[in-house]
Amino acid sequence: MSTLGLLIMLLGIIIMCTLVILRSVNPIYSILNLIVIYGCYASILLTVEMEFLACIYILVNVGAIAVLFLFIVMMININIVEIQETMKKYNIYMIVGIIGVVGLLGILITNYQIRIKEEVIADFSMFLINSEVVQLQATPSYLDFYSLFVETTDIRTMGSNVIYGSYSIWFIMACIILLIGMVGVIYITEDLIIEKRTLNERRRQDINSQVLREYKITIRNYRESK
Amino acid sequence: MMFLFENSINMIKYSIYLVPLIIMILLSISIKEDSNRMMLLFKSLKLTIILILVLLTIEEAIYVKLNGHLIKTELITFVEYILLVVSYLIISMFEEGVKEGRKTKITEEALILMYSSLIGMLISMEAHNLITLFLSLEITSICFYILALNKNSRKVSIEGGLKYYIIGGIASTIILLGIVSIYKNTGSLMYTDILVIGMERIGNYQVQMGIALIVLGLIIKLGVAPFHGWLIDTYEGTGMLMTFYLTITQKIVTIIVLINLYKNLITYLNIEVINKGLLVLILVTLIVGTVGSLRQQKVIRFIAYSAIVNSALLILFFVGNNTEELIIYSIYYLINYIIGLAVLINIIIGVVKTKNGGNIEILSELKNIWLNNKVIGISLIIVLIYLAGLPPFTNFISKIILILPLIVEGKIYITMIIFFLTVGIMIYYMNVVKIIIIDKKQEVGVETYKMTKGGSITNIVGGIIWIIISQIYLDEIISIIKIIVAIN
Repeated sequence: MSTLGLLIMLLGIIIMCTLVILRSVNPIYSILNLIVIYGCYASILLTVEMEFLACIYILVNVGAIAVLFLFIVMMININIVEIQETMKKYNIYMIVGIIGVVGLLGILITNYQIRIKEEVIADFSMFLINSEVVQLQATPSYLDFYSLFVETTDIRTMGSNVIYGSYSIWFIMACIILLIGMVGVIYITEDLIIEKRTLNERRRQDINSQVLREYKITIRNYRESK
Repeated sequence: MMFLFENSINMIKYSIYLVPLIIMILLSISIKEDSNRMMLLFKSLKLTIILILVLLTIEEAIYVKLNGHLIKTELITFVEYILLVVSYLIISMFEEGVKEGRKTKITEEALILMYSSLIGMLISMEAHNLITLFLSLEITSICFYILALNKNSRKVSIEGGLKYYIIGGIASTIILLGIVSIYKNTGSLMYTDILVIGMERIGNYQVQMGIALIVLGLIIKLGVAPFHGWLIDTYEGTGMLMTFYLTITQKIVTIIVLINLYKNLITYLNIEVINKGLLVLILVTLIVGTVGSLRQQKVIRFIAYSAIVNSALLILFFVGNNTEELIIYSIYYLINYIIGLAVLINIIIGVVKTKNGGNIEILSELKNIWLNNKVIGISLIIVLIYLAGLPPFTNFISKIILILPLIVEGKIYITMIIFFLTVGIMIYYMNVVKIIIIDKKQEVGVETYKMTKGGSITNIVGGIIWIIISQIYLDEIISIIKIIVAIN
């Protein structure tokens, strides 16, 4: 499979997951599909040789932000019934969004030189011009030993010099700031939401009973129980 | 063998910060009963602080780590001890309040945020890189913004927390602007590199502007006038014990960060603008603290103004030219202020109204103290005279030795103004003493008070013993601090 096919498949997965996010009733499904989208974005970044950005995308967006959303959705009983009634309003926005995404991709690929490998450009131009498939003769290819020794990836450069070297203290403190943001959001919002919803007689939310909720009631059989 | 042991300590050092944080988060979501969960979090937090104290005694007092990102001296170790002991004391007071069913408002997330702010404070005292300093100050500041919301649904609490967030964000932006200015001009973020490049181009204003902006941001966080208005409302909405925590720990950390900047950068770069600007700010703060506090009716706003005035006195070492002597006296003054404020807050929290179980909130309620319980009245009077700085108590000595070196350096008019304003500071402490003794009521329907048992009495007795003993061992204490500051 060529790189263009891989890109088309990844973009297709992204579009499908976007539709699932917009149409789904349960916010946990939305967040899990968002995680799949982040994985596809990271894969696209890997194909254009941005290894470090791909790993940071996974670490920050999946490891911190999506987990933060999962924590908040599971700990705060967001009333899901209210979301379902307004789903039909978003149909128009989905159609316009799809047209916009396709248009943007067409403009980017045809008019602007984005950083894609030559193989992708060759395959794409072949696809556009409708030229005949030429059977190429096999030519001998030699391994360049010099480039094997000199070439380093982004991950090796950033990892050895920045993250795990002298500057590791910055990385650790950035992680602590994200953790404080997570704990702080829970701390600030739980009373406000409980007082509005009046779900519990007690003022304070019991995190333990929510974390230990059963799988069938919350996720799997939600529509059936309704 | 020592080399292997040292490497083990270097690895233990960072996991001992992060592993208790993870353990506390797991504890807060995995235990069912509220009281067991809270007590276990308190115990784990106190045990963590004890472990960090033990680690401070084991490892070297002076080290350079991570290629100069973290540098520790004897002074920083000593102040880290003070910070950890004060935090342990405050967490013990919270635990006692929860056990006895008082109205102390604390939750599991607040304890996790307090420990996170401790991590930020410990790193910011050791930081020798501007980005490391900024990130650690941000950890502490974000925790403090959230802790300032007192989990009340009152408007006062939300207003105070929001003001703290806005002003703290502005101060962080000013600090970051100073860091960017220094980085653009020198190309480095390390203190040593900035010093070398700055000394080569001594007249360059961009490095000076950057350092001035960093000092300005730190002073805004400290609450020096005219940037003090947010601090009064924040502490009013927060509550007594959290006010004590935010006041003392912020003061300790900011003073040490300023001392680090002063010893490493400001002394050698010969910046005159900072000294003159800070002198103006100190005088304005003393005036505002004197005039503004006379009309206050609430106890907690009284304590907030006390924090503002003492912040100005603590940064007096910028004005003088003799660096080490003024730093020694600033730290001595800081220790005395911590002990005085601790005893005062323990008395206020420990004294409970018999009818509804609340604490004293308005200054006029102190009129009934003397008639009802003379022991509490005498304790309050001793602490207030101590904080006012009247002789024979040692806070008088600590204020005198902080101001007198300015006369030796020839700044006579400045010293006279500061003395005059210090007398003005004494007035509002004496005003409270006047309420207790002279304005006492003779009415029949008297509100009665009782002192609760437990840690408050221990803290009060310990504080008063220090107030008495520190007069006798005055020279020894100052000599110990002098040795600690002198070792670099």
